[in-house]
Order: sequence, then C-alpha cells, then structure tokens
Amino acid sequence: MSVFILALAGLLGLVFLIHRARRNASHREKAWGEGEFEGKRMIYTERVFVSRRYGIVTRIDRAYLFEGSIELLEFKTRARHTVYPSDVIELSVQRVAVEDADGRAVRDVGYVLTECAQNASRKLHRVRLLARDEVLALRARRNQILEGQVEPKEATSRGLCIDCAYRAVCKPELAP
Amino acid sequence: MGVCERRILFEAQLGKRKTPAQNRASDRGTVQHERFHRDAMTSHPDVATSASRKGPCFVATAVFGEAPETETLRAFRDGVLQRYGIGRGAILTYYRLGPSLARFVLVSKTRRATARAILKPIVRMIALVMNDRSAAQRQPR
Repeated sequence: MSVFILALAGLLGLVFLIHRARRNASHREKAWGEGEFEGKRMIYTERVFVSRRYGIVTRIDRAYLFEGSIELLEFKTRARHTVYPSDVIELSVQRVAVEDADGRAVRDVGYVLTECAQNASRKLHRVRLLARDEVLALRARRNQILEGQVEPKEATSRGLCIDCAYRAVCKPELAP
Repeated sequence: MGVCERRILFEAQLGKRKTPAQNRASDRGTVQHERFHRDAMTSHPDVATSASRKGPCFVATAVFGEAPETETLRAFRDGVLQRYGIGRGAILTYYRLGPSLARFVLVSKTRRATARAILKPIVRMIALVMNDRSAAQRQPR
C-alpha cells in the first residue's frame, strides 16, 4: 500500500514538474516573441538543411510559417544586444538551403534573437536578408580567397584583431 | 564578407582556433542554445528537428566541454537513470535546474574549477559502475 502511495506521489510530482516546465517555457517564449510571432507557427527547430544545387549544408535555429512563407530566426548569446553583418549572412545562407530543400519561399525579413550573457535578457532584431545572388557572390569570393586568386582583406576594426585567435600569426606586433 | 577575410584563410590553413575567452563564450552559447531548443520542443512538441530528442548535459558541458566526462554522464543518464521512474524524475528536475546551474558555473574560473573538483570523483565512480555493469552484461551465463 505504502509503495502504491509513494508511486502515486512520484507520478503526481512528475506531472507537476512537466506542467511547470511547459508553463515556464511558454512564459519565456512569450517574453520575447509576443506580438511579432502571433499567428505564426513554429515548424522547425535545430534542423539541418542541404542545398544540393549549391553544396550548402546549414543548421537553422528556428523557422516559423506565416501565410505560406517561412521566416527564419537565429539565436545568439552576446555580451551586448548587437547584430553583426555575419548574422545577416548566416541567415541569408540558411535561406538558400531552406528554399532549395523545403520548396517553400523564405521571406526577405528574418530575425536575430540576442541574449545578453550578463543578465539573460533577450531582444528580437528584425533584419533584411541578402538576395540569393549576393550570397553566391560572397561564396565565390570566399573560394577565390581560399584558392589564392585574390588577396584577403584585413579587418578594418582593431578590436577584431585584438580578440582574434590568429593574432600571433597575422599581426605579431599586436600579440601580448 | 562579414568577417575578417584573412581569418578565413587562417582557418583553412591552420584549423579553427579560439582564444580562451572565445571558448568560454562558445560553451556558454552552447548551453543557452540547448535551453532555447528545449523551450521550442516543450512549447511545440510536434515541431520538426534534426537534433536528438534526448536532453543535453548542461552542467557537464559547461564544466568539461565535449569531453569523455560529459560522455560518461550522458551514458549514465541514458543507460541507467532513464530505466527507472525515480531516475527519469531526477533527469526532469535536472533539466529544469541544469541551465541555471550551468550559467552559475560559467560565470568564473573559480566556480568552474570548484564544480570540476566536485564532479570529477563522481564521474570516476559512475565510470566504474558503468564498466562493472558492461562487464557483467558481457559475461556468459
């Protein structure tokens, strides 16, 4: 009898924990996405897409479906709520792979959700994605750099060099 | 290009390198990403994903990174805890507390070192138990 009561208490505890986990997750989601994602359905999370046409493999953080089109969201943990050009490029590359693999159109507008590493606050940024041609041009440029056909440009910001792991090889004068 | 073009070349020639600060930020990002993904799975159980539906090891990843210790703890979770009701309850509770614990540990080197010092003997004991179990399973009856 006591075993049965213990099992029942354990089961109730488990149900309570699951319910609380769901409620907390839903609250966390609403805290940053309410309004912007109302009426949109989440269709993918942490999903890999492959564009066989261009040989692109990418993993998206989330995708939402709205009026037949897909919207992409990229999650970033940062020291500040900042969006970088590399985020826009990342989402734009994802768009090429998702469109090729899924068949549905991906909207020009995507989202970067930044989470501040210090206080865990979240901020949603709307960004305009690059066109497919621009993505392919970037890829061609990257290939040219790797094949030694063009000289790679240096970073324009000194801050980037100071935080770079290749500083000792690239700019020994900045190495500690 | 959105990033330093020379870095692209160095990455290809020398392999991907990160500074200790970048490694810490990357570990923190991994933990938060896993939590973000878990929130998606919890609030939308029918959403499509390529990720494993098994849960992550938040604290172990924060403390050890993707190391054999983390693998041992994962194996213990999947091979032992998952098999018993009380173990599954413990896993669920851990999933609730894990991200906060991992965040707490990631804040400083001292916290990570302390957590490592506490976890290492536990992981060693778990590894011994797991080895005994697999040896017993291999023995002919």
